[in-house]
Amino acid sequence: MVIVAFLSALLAGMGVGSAGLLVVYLTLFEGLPQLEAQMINMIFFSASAAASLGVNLVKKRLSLAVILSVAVPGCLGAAAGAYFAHSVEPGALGKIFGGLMVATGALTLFRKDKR
Amino acid sequence: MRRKGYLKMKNIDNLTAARLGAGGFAAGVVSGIFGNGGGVLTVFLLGALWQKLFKDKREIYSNAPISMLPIALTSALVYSSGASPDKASLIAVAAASLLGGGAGALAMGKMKLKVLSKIFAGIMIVSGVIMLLS
Repeated sequence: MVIVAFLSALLAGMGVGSAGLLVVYLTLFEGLPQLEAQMINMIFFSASAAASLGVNLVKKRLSLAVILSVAVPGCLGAAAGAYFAHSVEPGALGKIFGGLMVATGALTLFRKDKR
Repeated sequence: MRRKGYLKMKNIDNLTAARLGAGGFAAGVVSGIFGNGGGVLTVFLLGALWQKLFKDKREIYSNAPISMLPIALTSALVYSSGASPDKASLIAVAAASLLGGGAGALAMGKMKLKVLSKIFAGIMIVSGVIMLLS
C-alpha cells in the first residue's frame, strides 16, 4: 500500500494525477469497501498536494484568484457529492467509476491540443 | 500581473471566474461521489482557460492539485462519517504521499507536457478497465 501510495503521489505531484490507482488497489487487493477506499484516496491526495504546495509556492507558479475561484464552489460540490455517494450501492459505484476513468483517459489520449 | 509574496494576484474577469466556479463545483461533485476524478476535471477546466489565467501552460499542473486540496479534504471529511480506517495505514499512506508529492513537484519541470498527458491518460484507461472487470 505504501509503495502504491508513493508512486501515485509522485504522479499527482507532477500534476499528472494519480488516476485512481490507490482506489483500484485498495478495493481489489486490500478488499476495502469502496467508500473507505475513496476516503483514504482523498487523504492521500491531500497529503501529496500539500507536499507540492511548498515547491510550487517557492517557484511562484500559483495563482490565488484561480485557486479560490475553483476551490470554494468545489467544496460545496464535494459535500453534496459525498452525501450522495452514501446512498449509492457500492458495487455500482465502482463500475461507474471504472467507466468514467476509461472515458476520461481516452478523451485525454486522443484529444488534439489547440494552438 | 501583480505579485504578492509567492502568490500571483492576477485579476480575472467575471465571466472567467464564473466558468472556474461552475467547473470547480462540477469537479467537487465528481470528487465527492467517486473519491477521484475531480483533479482530471480541474486540469481540463484550467486547460480550457489557461491563456486567460497563466503565462505558461505548465502552471495548469501546479494550480490544479492545489485547487483540489480543500475539495479533497471536504470529501474525506464527509466520507469519514461512515468509515473507520486503520490509523497506522492512514499515517503510512499520508507519509508516502507527502514524499511522493514533493518529489513529483520537483520533477515536474523536467518532463515534457505531452509526455505527462499521455502517461496520465494511459494510467486512467488501464485503471478504469480493471475496475470495470472486477
